[in-house]
Amino acid sequence: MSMVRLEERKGAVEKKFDFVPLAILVCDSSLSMQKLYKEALGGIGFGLIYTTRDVTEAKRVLMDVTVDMIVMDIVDADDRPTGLLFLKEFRRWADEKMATLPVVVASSRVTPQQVVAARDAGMNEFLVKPFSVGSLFRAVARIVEEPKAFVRIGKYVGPCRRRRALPMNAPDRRRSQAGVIPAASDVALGAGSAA
Amino acid sequence: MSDPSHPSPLARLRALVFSGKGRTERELVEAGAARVETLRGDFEFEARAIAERLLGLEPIIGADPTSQEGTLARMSARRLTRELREASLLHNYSLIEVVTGSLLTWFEDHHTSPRLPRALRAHARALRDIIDGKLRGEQAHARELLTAALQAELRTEQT
Repeated sequence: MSMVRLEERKGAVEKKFDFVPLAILVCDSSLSMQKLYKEALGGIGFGLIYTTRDVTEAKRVLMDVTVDMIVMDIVDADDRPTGLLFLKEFRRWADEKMATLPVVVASSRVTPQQVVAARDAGMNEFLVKPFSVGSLFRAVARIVEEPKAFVRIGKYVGPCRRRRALPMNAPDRRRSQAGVIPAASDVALGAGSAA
Repeated sequence: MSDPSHPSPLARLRALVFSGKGRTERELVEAGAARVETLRGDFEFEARAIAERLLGLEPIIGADPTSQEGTLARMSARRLTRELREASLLHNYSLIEVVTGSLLTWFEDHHTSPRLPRALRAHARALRDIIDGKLRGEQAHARELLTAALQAELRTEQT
């Protein structure tokens, strides 16, 4: 039995990631951060990396090409929360494929209120700036390792916000609701929910 | 409920990423870090350019910090400093990290202080000296040097 566990652990440690088929869009007002993203994400293996400096450019790119993920800052060069507003806006786009794109919010603003605002705008992951290549990798890897269902509940549109595994004493009604797009057939609604 | 015969976008991503091909997390992070390292030269060039821009903004902030022009210059200087700090941490450039961290504290906690322009000048000069190789050492040493430079700059104002 212990040998089996050892093998399992070895298998988990050596899990392979292939981001080559994926395209990612970066939106950050800083030119040096754009360069850093390009190299870091290129090294991680993303096949296509589009860098933009503001939401206007990001929208233009999204109209022209298909991307699989977005990494964006919540504020622009003038400290206005344009990224946050854009996230809220495109979560409500009619094109479901676009509206459900996974989004990593990267920000140097790390007050609890700002993290909650980003979560409620529909982010998938939060990345605190400045970050290491390792934490950038973890943020994008978590999206595919622990996918969350996409939900439309009340005013909220975005990935399921549940993070903790809490026991449920009643049937999970969200599974039969029209506004839920499952993350994957065998994956729970929230990362921490019981499968 | 979506049609189970069509995989959700995330299920599709999972299938692509975990196809069995690719490399391990450690290998990918190392590859990313190695590529980021190649930008170090660019970063130094940009850091120097930012130091010069901060020095250029100092007289505008010093002339009238409450004017629209002065406020815009201060916000611009703060943004440049924050961007430089973020990049310095990713490049593991601890001396620049110390100086930009100290300058950000000035922008955030002492933005109404009449000493802000002097402090800005001292920090921008320190940044330039780091890039030019005149200011070397570890973080603690950099803090001492910076404190000394700042105090000297502020004393100049008083005399």
